[in-house]
Amino acid sequence: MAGASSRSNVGVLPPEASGGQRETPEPPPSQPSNRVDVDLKVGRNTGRVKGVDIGHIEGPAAVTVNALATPAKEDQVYAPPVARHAFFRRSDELDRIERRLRSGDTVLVHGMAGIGKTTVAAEAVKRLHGAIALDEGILWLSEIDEAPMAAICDAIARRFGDDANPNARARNEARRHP
Amino acid sequence: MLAPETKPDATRDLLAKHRSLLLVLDHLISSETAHRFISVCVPDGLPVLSTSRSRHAVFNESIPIRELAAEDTEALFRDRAELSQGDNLVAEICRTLDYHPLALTIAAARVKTEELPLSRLLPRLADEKTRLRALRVGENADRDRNVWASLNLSYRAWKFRPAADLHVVSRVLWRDDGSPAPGQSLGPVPNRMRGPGWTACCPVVSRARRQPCRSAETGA
Repeated sequence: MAGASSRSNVGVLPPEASGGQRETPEPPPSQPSNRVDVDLKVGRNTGRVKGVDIGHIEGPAAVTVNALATPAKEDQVYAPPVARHAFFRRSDELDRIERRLRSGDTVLVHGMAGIGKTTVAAEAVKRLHGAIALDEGILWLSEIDEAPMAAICDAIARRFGDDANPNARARNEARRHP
Repeated sequence: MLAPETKPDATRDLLAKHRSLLLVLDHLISSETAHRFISVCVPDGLPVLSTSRSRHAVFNESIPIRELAAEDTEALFRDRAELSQGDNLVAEICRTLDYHPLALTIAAARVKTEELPLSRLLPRLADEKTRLRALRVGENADRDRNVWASLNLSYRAWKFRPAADLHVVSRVLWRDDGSPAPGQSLGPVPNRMRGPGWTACCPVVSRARRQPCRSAETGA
């Protein structure tokens, strides 16, 4: 992507290794940011934009990698979005999604802009989170087209690599040496 | 340290150790990214849920999300705006916004938080000049809660191909005879679009030039 720079500043791999791109100085606040910022945020944000409710799956395992963070979002901590409202009219689609995901398939939800694809995905995630044991949780990657592949891989490594997560490391150790 | 080209393989090996994981790829755009990521970074048997405006062949299953029925969109608007039953302007607002779930969700949020009466919201939504401004919430560019940002996402991904794109635009705006298409308020093909540069791109404009419609006869 032209004009973008990668800022993978934490983790097991140095910034130089991500696509050969280097960190650039902060743009002045008045300019619109065109920077791609890949970082891993764990936890939850306030989830409220002027009354539009967005819930979030909580817990240490639920993670969002935001590939297109604006400066205002940098300090926020993200968790996957969850549809908070009771109203829902897509039960046929949800049943299909749930069935295929339970058998380990890859599922694509497609449709026109604003039709509710992300809302359906968030609802499916909420159902699965309650229904099956997702011990390792949910890895929610948004807009991966906007980030270099190496930067996305770095972000995943920071979350799931043994260096990044003492709890996961302890669990994996326990499995390897019961 | 890993070289960049070995990272996707390393990622697949890493994810293969975490079997009880669900991977979500939200707002996927290109088939190339989808194919590269799924076929290289994702180990067999790891469940993946993805959303996209287009279909991509690499997935096991494609599930279309269709438009909601008109009465469902009215229920959606009432629910999000926390309105009681029986306001007859709700149906009118849903029709004005073409029963579009995102637009209705945002309009409902404004009704709820700003206590904006429906009778004041409706004219703002009906007027093309104020519609998009009425459908923005908050100061940020979060596309999930902002119609303008959602449109901008398409605009950014758009690679302009003059001939093909102008052809599509002209098909939307005008009928074959150069008169405005139903629901379009731009009027007939303008005279300034009847030059050779335009007619080369737009068969509709070209036909309109050969068979001039009413305004062309009177105007030129």
